[in-house]
Amino acid sequence: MTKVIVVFGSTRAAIRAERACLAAGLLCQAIPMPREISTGCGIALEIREQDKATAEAIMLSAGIPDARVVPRPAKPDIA
Amino acid sequence: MKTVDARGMACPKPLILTKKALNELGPGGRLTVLIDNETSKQNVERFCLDNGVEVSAAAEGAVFTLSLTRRGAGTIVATEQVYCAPEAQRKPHVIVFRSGTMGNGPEELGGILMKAFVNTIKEISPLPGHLVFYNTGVHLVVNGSPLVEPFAELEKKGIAILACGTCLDYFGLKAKLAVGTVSNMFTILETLSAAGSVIAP
Repeated sequence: MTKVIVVFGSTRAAIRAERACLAAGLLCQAIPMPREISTGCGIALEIREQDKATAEAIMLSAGIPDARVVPRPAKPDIA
Repeated sequence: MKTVDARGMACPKPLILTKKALNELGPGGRLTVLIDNETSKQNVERFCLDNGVEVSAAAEGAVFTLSLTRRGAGTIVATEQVYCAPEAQRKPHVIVFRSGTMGNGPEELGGILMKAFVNTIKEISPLPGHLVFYNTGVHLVVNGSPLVEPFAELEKKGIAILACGTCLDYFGLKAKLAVGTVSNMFTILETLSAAGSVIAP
């Protein structure tokens, strides 16, 4: 299953977004911002690619317009 | 910038050359190390982390380029052989969950940090040997916790999950344990005592 991630302008936005997704029953997982995307500290949400449009709608209605959905960077193989 | 070319070499040679070159650098000094096997790369990285050397790695084909920056001063005396022990021979680390949050502070911040932490455990090699839960940490492994699934995945990978029975009993959660086994002070203390290191988020 392809996953995409939602990134945010602030930690508080990420916390609000997670709450909104859970409240809406959307499958989402809090993950650290992948290193490939930002060197700074941060929280992102991992969602299924098929839920992208739903997630974007949830972000809009939750008042988090700066949320961006981006592809999940390829994970290095872990033994 | 100085470069140590350790391609074609097996542990401890890359470490010996790296240590020698680092000891010739002052604080802020930089060094590039070329390595062509994963084991030596990991060993050099651990050696650096333990000895005040910043390290970042880039891979190109089969060759790793490690960029080292010395932060400390003085002579590094660490023994190379310690870092050459194969992963299997090292004692695995243990992660203790002392509460439901990562760190102390606002509940919502500590809560989302803990989720991100737990969701990342599977991606960091080597994996821990045990996960130990006590005090309010036991709330993470009972029915209704959003983290039951990732913990169950880790348990499937062979990581033992121990939940403090006294704590489950205190919170009335003994029947609600969703992942792992009910444990006691003896087993928990033995597990922590035998750990290579203990991580407490």
